[in-house]
Amino acid sequence: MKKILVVDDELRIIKILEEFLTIKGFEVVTSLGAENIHEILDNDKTIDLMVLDMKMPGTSGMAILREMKDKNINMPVIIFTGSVDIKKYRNELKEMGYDYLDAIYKPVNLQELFDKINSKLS
Amino acid sequence: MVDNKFNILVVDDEQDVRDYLGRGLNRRGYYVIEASSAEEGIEQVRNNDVDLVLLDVKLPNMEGSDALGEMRKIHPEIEAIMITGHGTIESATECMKKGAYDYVEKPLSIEKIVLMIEKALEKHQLKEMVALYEISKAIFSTIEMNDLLEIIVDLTMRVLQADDTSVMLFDEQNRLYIAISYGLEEQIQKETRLAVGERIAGWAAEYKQSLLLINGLKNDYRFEGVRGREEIKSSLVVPLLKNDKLLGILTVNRMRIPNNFNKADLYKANIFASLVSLALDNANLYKEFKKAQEQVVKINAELLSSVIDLRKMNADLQNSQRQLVQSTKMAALGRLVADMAHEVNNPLMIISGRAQLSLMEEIKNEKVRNNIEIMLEESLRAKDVMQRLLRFSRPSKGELGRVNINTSIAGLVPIIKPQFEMSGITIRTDFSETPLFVLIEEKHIQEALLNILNNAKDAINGKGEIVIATRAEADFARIDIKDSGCGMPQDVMDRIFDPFFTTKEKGTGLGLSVCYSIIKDSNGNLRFSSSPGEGTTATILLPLDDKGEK
Repeated sequence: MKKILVVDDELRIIKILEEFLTIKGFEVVTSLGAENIHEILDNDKTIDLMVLDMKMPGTSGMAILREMKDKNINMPVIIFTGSVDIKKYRNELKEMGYDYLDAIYKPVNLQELFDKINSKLS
Repeated sequence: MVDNKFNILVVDDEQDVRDYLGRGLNRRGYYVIEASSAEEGIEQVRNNDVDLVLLDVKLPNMEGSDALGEMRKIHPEIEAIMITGHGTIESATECMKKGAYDYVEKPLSIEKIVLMIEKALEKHQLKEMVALYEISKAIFSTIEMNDLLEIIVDLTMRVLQADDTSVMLFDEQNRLYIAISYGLEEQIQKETRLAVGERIAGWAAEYKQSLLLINGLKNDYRFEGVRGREEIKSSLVVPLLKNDKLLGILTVNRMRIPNNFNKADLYKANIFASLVSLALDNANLYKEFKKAQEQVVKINAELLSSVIDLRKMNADLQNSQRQLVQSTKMAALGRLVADMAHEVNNPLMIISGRAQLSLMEEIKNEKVRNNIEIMLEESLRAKDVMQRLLRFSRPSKGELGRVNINTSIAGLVPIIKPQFEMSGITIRTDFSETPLFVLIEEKHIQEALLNILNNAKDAINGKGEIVIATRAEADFARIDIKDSGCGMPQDVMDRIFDPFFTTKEKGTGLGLSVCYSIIKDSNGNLRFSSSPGEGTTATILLPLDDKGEK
């Protein structure tokens, strides 16, 4: 069973993704905002993919990506965002190996998200 | 003709007759000159200003008629009354044919003669007046300086019977120059410049007095040391005065004409000069008037062009102001939309997410299922609006490419053409001859073009034509999209780029807002010109990319 980490600052969004991905047969771990992200990233080395919100109070999605790079944690990341802000990070994202055009925008068609996750994991 | 007295010459070989007439005429205020022979009489005419001659028809060496002929050669306007004795009436009538005024028969009656003289002189004066009238008419027939000078010279030659003549006027350094002349050598005409007081014309100018010069300057103390032209026998030099203001000098010379100018000529010249002065003054005034008028016309034209410039500046200013308002409005809206998007998209995610999850369940109640489906659809519609709004606020910057806008449009047109033609709309393209390379994200520009074309289609609403024309304009590629549609009033034009502003029933009001953002983002400009009933032209300007390969 593949393990997916969902990071968002809205609990209700986390719950939707958690429910959906569970139905689709994934093991889901969640972090409300950056609350317990450090702990998860430091301790759980079994995570296969991360769905990451960009705009969060406190620690942003970009900050988490930078931290992962520093700690040399590599995993597929689906950028999950409510705005188009990320294009300003496109160069930085590119350097870190992500394509900003690959992002998924809220509100998302859940089937689309599922397809994307599958393609990243295959 | 000082004191208004007339000079009368009596030519008769009889001493008694001369005495009788001399005394009688003297008593009545005439100056009388006597001559006892035809030769002497002719000489007197040459040397004196004779107004009238009493001439014996039978003189010792010459017939009276021949003597009169000679006198007339010297003084064409001289009046003559013939004196005849018995049996000489025929000779007298011969003289009448030659221009004599009348004849008297001996024995003479002074009363009768005086009466005849008065009448003759009256006629003479009348003749002079008529001549003067004719001269005035000619002189005042023009007000153009150059024409006037021609006329003056022509009249001078005729009236004063000269071999040469010149009119001198003042140049800007207040020196006399020859404005026009007749019979003068070209070099003299061109090079003569005289200060006031210098030479003869200068003297006449300084003292404002006319001169009658006979046999050159040798015997005239006023012109000691001045070398005149040897060939000149007599001259008249007349100042042209208007109210004591000196306008110039009129000079006439005789060289070949046998008899010299006399006082009568000088008198005539003075009258003539006063007419000339008046006409010159008029011409000067007219010249000044015309100059002033030209100045007025010039100032008027300058004023008009300033007004046009001002109007253009004003229009430009209004245009810039409108653009400034537009871009300020857009920037503020852009920030608002970006902030709003995040806040709206999260709840939309939750609504649509929940709806999607619900639909994954088995729902027995069809009504509930339908409700949830509608909620999902509508949340996706809301997403779509948000997406377009975001595009407008911050069009994503993709990879810029160097694109020939002509090729790009040529690629776009065939795709939309069938759909447009089904609605009865033809699309015509008119591309610039040279390629127009711009640095843009091609699909964005195509999206903008598509938006504008769709608007044009909606504006036509039926049969019509859309013309897409491209041109290079300064540093920009200019794309004009002209439709034959309904056009728009100014109040619609002012709001055309506002998000959510629409005149269509099913429009989102975002199309042109997005176009505007895309084109602004490419450092270009989008503007519309339109008036109701006359169609609309959308003009896109994109900076030409002259770097890279041509």
